[in-house]
Amino acid sequence: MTNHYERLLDLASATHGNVEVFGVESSRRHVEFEANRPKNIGQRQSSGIALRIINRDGRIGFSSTSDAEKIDELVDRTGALADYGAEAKFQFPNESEYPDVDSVDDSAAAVTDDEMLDFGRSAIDAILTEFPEALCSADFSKSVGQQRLINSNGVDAQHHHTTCSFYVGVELIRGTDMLSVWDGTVSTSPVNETNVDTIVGRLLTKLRNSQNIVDAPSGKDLPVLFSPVGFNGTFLPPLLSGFNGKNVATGSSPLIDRWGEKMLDERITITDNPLQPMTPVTRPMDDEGIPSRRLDLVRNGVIGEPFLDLQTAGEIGKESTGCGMRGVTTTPSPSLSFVKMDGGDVPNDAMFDGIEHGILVEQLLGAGQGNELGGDFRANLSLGFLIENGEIVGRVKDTMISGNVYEALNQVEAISQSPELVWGTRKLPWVRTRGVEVATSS
Amino acid sequence: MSYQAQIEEALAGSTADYSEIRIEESDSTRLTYRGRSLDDVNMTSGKGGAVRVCVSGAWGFASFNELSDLKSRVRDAVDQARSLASGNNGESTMLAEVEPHVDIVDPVIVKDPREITLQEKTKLADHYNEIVWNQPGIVSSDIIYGDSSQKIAFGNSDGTYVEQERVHVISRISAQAKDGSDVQQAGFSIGALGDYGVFEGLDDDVAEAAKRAVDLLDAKPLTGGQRTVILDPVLAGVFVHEAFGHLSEADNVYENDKLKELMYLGRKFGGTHLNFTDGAGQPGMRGSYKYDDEGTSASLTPLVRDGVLVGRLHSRETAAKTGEAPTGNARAINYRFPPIVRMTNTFIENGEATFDDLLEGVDDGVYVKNWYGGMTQHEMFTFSSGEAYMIRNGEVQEAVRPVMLSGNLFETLENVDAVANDRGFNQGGGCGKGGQMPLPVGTGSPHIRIRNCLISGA
Repeated sequence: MTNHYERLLDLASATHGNVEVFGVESSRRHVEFEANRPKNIGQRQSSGIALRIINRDGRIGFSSTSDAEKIDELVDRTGALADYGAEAKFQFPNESEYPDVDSVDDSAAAVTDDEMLDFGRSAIDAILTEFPEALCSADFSKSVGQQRLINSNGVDAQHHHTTCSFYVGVELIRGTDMLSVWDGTVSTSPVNETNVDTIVGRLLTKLRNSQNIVDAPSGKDLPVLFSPVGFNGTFLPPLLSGFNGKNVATGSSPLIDRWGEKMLDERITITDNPLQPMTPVTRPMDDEGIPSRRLDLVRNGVIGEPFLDLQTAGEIGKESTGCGMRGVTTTPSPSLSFVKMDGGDVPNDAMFDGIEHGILVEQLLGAGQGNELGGDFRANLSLGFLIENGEIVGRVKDTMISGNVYEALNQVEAISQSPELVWGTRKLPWVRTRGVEVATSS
Repeated sequence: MSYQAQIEEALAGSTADYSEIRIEESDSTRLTYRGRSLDDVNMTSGKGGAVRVCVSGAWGFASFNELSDLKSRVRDAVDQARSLASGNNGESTMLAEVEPHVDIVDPVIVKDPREITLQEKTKLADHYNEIVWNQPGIVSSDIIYGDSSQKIAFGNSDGTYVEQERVHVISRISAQAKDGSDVQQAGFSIGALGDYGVFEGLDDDVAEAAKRAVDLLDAKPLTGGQRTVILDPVLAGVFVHEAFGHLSEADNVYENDKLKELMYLGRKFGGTHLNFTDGAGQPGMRGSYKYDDEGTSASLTPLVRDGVLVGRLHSRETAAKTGEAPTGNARAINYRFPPIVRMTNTFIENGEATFDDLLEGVDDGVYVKNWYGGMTQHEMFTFSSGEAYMIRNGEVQEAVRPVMLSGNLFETLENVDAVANDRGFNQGGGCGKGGQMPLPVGTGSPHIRIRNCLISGA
């Protein structure tokens, strides 16, 4: 559909004046293992194009298609929708300079099916050597994509990306206990042997630590240690929802009157940086043509600024922060990219020290079902461990955690020195805190 | 050339053990309100196709938007599957026998949303938004209305060719109230197959949700722990979906001998009042259809009868490999994905108790209604209520903050000690699995009571 952009822009701007055309093309190939064996191989080629206009009454119209034969219909349809559309609180941007940032690894496209299969086999073999009764699944994919945005003010913003992902899940059943652990990585570059070894190593550690099932403690004042993955699942969604421009513009964010106020432990600093090179979410501009920049969400516990797209920025009388993101079938909405929390002063391997009786949160089940907007979190521990005298003594089951992010992140006891990558788009430390309620039926 | 001719021509050249082609056309409309005004009106049309082939037990799949040259798509998929099969130690393709069908299926239409003007839809949504904002204390509202139509042409190398069209209507309406930094929300979700009417006449429900959001600011949170809970039909529907439905999907079991030993047909999971069913053969619900995405006829599958596991949900492959009959549960959310084993409409059948019987003797329990969501990981599951009320001395009393409930298949079903006779249905849900979400599903259940259910703190 790449050859239709200019034509659609010309056609639409003749009728509607203020016009923007956005489109994506991508190609993804993947190989899957099921029950320790190669099972599925596939490819997905997709393309689509979207038209957004601001009509003469200042209202937004939007529609999209993946059907090349229906592209011309977008012009009339989008015009008709604009009669009912939201009032635009912005103008389409003018041309800008975009920062130069690397987001493509050319070797990603060259990865072969056989290479993906070989990595899968070696990862699964390593796990089966120690746990012969395990059932492993694995999923490798590589995708190459590009997107382009042009508007009637002369913006022509193009962006290419490569994404390689590798994911391994292991299942162990003993009696009526079913243990599931998983790990993986997402990157702009092809998977290499070091990635595979790291992931297999972490999986084996989780499996070894899960051999004993022990009774979980309960209460509201236990030390609770969150791995980077556990921290990501527990705290980031309720915390970040308060910074989302949509919630700020409607007034439902708990942070609206509190920018610049210290609300979290002073050791907490969290930034969003789409200009971090070579991540799966690296981008020189957002999906509305606004140059990317780093955002201070929390600095030393002080609440920084919300993340905004053009519309939400206009609603609250600010400039877009370059966070307007979308798929081809939806209008932009505020979204973050590479979120990093700074490390603290405790060596990563000393994070267990001093925990006499507490738990480690690794994987969650059902997070995000509660009242996140209010900062609440709650989830079942799909993988959690009992810590006694600084050591993991076994896995806890049928156990839930709950609390409020603004309370728990004010009772932080320790933050590890070196943050770790989580699914390629987050870099987070280990965090030990109190103020998390633990309930159990075990 | 018709889709049928294109598909048949492309399949004729396939050298795989099994081949299928799907071509899909879709149209959808979505209105989103955020706060006081309409935030987004969006119409999307889509067209695409998928080829899936099996060679010696290995599957090749390709999806695309460009529909020309289906023949070479088939050839590529066959080549890929063949190269994968060379590494799987000489397995063979096993698919349950299914009678070939040639059929054109008309959509189920009660009140066609495509014949309602955008003006009418926005007027009604505006009206609901007004109702939310008439409630003092509201700080924001979210209203989503969506309708979609999906026309699918499917053909396979066994001689099946079916065209099906489905029209869905969904809506979620929620209100947010705020006091300082305390934000509370309340809402509900609805859905229907081919019926715009489900979005009409909601004034009372909307007003009640708005009031509930404000009232929640004064509601007390519960302390986590085990309690007796009574689930309303909506949440009990989510419960059966999460607690039992997912583990009855045979793709969990068919290559997993240990799980097969645990989930054997004939295993007892609870009392004789437990009777669960799933099926797209139940007419007129969001999870209903005539043929699944492998062209297998829909059915109604008893999963549990008198507390005993009696059946599970199958694709053609899982049916063949477990030696059970296919049930027509292979579903794909759209052409970008292969069909996998999914639930359709999942039910708890009526018991004999009344709601009052369930309350009787409960001195310190919680009545949980409505849903936020739910999730399953093998035997463990969680689900969340949209409302919660204390039960004391057999009476439903004040509202408390909504809770998350958690359980374990092998214990929680044993703890379901009463099932009422007042079955109600819910069609506002969407199910996620294997990256395919939200797939339209329905649930139905009467009130049920669970003893010693683990509840999170709030």
